[in-house]
Amino acid sequence: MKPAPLRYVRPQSVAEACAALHAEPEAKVIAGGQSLMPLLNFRLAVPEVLVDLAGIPGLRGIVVAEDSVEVGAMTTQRALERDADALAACPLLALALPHVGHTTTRNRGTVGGSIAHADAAAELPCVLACLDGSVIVAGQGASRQQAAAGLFVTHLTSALAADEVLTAVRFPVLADSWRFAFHEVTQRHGDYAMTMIACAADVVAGRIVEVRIAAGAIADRPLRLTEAEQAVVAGVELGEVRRIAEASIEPSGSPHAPAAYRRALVGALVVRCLEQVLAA
Amino acid sequence: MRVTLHVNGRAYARDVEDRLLLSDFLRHELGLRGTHVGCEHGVCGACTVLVDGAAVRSCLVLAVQVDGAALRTVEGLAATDGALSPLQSAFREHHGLQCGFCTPGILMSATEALDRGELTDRQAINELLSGHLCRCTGYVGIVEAIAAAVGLPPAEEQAL
Repeated sequence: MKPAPLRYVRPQSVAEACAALHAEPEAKVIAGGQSLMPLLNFRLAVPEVLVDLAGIPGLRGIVVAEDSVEVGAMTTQRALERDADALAACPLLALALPHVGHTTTRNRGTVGGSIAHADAAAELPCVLACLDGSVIVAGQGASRQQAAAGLFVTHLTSALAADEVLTAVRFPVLADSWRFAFHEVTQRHGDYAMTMIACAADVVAGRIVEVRIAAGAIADRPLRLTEAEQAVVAGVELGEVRRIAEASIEPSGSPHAPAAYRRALVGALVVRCLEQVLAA
Repeated sequence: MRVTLHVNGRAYARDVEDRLLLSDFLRHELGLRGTHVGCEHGVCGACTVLVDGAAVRSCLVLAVQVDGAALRTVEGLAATDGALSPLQSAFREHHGLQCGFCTPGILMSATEALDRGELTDRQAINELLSGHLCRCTGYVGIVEAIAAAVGLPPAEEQAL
């Protein structure tokens, strides 16, 4: 229950961090550490070097622009949760952030860390997938933008190279006609979710003309339920949308949430989200 | 690596292994054993301390990460003459602890939330406590203690 011996480095710039990662293949980035530290304590992760991003200026901060909320990678989840302008511009964040761990982990856990960690049951990756957001990634060469589609490869694995550093997360700002919903089921508030659904819908005259539905904790990465999305826009009634959503996934089971239960939860939460955006 | 920080207003400097957890640093290096260690993977909340005013789990932080920070632990809640803080007094008054193992962590989380004015109703207190495991009392006394410290009216008596 203690980390294995490791060496800790605290670079002063993103370039220095990338160089440290490049030089040491068994290095791992630490941001807030709220997901990584349990893995270190259990010795499920045994990196030789920890590269802490906390000393790098410029990685904290939130910029609310017309088309996106750009969040510096080292911004804590709690800081984002307290930024009224960011939450107003991106209401799905306001709905999802209270589900991310507990206040004590959000005090230290970062937005960039949660995305880069790519936990299949984490809320922020599900939100980013739902909104078709993106991340800014720095490496040995020029920095690049990586879309959420393609970012989450599998559980705990993102498309970032070993010597790349995620520097910012961009959550798109949608038009005023969009409505949002986020629901998850956990055994206790703050626990890992058994299933979560994030939903963004463009509602015009009481009808959904465009919708994005993302599901978390049912596969090795957040999934967009595209068949259900198409059915909603085609005007299919909710009971049938539920059936389509449930048929479109192949959830894994766990002792607390067998696959059939998880499948039923997906259907129920999709309907709950859609009813909520239609009623808003 | 050399770690220099303040805990409860007092300056400390120690040379420690890079892998040393902050919880172990406080208990073993500084002898501040009021911070309790339960699960060591961020679930039970017993090891919660304030780092620059924010309640965090000291088992999920390395000591080297908080070099230069100002910490507050349960030893720093009471006045120098030993007088309990209003929150601590409320825990005594409302039977908010039994074995006391989880209590330091709860006190530190609640101290931050009280200072920030975030505990506006019992639901907020319940959500705060969702990050803390107590295996003796149930949570009724703990909720009542925090509610009293906030200034919320006592819960209505439930018919048995």
